Amino acid sequence: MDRADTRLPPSAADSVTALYAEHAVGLVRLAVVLVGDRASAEDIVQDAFLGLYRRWDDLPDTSFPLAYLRASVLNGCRTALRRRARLGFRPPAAGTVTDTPVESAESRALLSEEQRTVAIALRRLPERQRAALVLRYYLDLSEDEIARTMGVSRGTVKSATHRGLAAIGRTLKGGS
Amino acid sequence: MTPAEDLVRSTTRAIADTVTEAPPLRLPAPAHPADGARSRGARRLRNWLAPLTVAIAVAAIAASLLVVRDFTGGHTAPSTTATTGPDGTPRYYVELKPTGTGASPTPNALVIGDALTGSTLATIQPPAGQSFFGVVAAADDRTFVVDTLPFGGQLNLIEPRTWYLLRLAPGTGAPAQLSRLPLPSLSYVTALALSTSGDELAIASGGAEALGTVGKLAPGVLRLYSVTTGKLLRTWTSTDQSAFDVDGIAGENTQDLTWIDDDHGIAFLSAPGHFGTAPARQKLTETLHVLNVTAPGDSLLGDSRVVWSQTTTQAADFGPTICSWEADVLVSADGKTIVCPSVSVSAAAAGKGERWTLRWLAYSTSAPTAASTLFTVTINQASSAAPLMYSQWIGVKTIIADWYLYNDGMSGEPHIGVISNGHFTPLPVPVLSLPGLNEPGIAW
Repeated sequence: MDRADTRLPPSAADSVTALYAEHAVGLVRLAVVLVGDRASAEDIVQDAFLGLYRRWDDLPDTSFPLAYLRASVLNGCRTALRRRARLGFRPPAAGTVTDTPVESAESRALLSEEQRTVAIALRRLPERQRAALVLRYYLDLSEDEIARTMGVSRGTVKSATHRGLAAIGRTLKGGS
Repeated sequence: MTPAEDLVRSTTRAIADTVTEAPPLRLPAPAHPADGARSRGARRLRNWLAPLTVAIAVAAIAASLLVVRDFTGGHTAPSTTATTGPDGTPRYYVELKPTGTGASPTPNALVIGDALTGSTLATIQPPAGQSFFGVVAAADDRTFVVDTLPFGGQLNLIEPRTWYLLRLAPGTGAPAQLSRLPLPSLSYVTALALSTSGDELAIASGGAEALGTVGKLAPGVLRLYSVTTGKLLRTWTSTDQSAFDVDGIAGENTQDLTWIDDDHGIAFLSAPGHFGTAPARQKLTETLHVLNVTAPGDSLLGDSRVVWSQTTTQAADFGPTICSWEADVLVSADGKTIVCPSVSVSAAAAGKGERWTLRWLAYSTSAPTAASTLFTVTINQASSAAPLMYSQWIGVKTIIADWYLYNDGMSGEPHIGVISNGHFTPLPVPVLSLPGLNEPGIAW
């Protein structure tokens, strides 16, 4: 068999590399907000691009790869958080600032006390609520876009956003 | 924007700003030629097996109920023996039902039900590796079109859809027949509508579906196919990425495209500028367009006319007299009346949480700014409750609405019924999807 026929088209590597140059930082930022630490975020984004590279020839349409990448990063974050949960990781209680891991992104960000409380409250939320809030308020996606990125219905997005905000509101007011 | 929303935004952005660079991309060396050959061979095998898998998967589940065959042509004329369900609703419905019960997404099966008796005629499991996703109905109460998406742990609309015709024959030995349709696989499908005759399928794609491409062009395309032959009959396009104010989500396919005027027109919702930058999101203008499918032209927006529009803001999401933010807007089959949900909330008595008021508003296309209220329901619920309201308009007079108001524990009683003369009459239709996990995709 002709080798040229069976080799992955060179354009796949070129295309994915170009996409990485354009979107990697933004996706690592998204992952950092979701999982809380830089190393995990970078690994998740690497895996997302690797997945895109491997699937490049099978994708029905490569015109909109950022959609695929965002969904992949979200999945990767979900997997990482579930793995942590299985290993016994527990997010800190609200208001216990000193519990924040030293190497976390929150600890490196210049946050006010109120923002730090929100950061901790975000990490205490169920993953679906946290993802909905991050996509809505960090990326400014619409409910439709969030639904597609998360692979859930728009109603789920609406309820997850509402509940997440309510929980953060309670935390800010000094509730549990 | 509330203080909590402001804080979430500023906090997440401050955390994100700690990242200023990414490490180099590490891609593997090109695959060995033999690996590529094996991969392509496997793909060919999968393609060859796919129709067989569909047949086996479906027939094995409900062999006594179902006939599966390849679509070989023939006319899909509706039955003339349609009966009526409660309050003028169609008697039979097709509903998506998650095959699992946990919190994680699972593929959807199809349940064919009888709204008059509350019984189930048939249940059709999805083909292996697929999930039923969209379902739309003709007016004869017997003809439906459904589609499937590949399912790999979740549904991704980037994947191509496969099309099926579902014909009901209640009272016979094969009450449901599922046939593969000769329509092409399409990605980025956002909405479907089957003509009242059951002969033509309108498919919307692109537009807002190209998530993640804010600021980039993602044309919206409306295609009209012959259900019988699979032939592409008409195409309308738009370079506006907000040409469709799409949902494209299971259970919402029927709201975004509507056949009107005896199959001479298609109504669709558009939201110019909705997918812009953050400030643009604070204000949303939705416009309802009507496209005459018998007239010449191929411009989705240019060849359609606007019959209704409304501008809302996020702050007005809970306003009592306008459609809710990003609400579904329905149009009647005669194109004369528009209905949308509206939600308002106020403090209830001490210890009673909040007082939620859900309304269904109606607008006339001849006086599109004045709303009347079709039905109102008021509920006291916890402050963290979330309302979900979905509706379908059957013909000119009948509105089937389903709504929930549920609390932190994901509990809350779902309601499905008919709105008529200011009243809500429940239907004996089970809500098969768990509230908040999957909307009740249902077609009548």
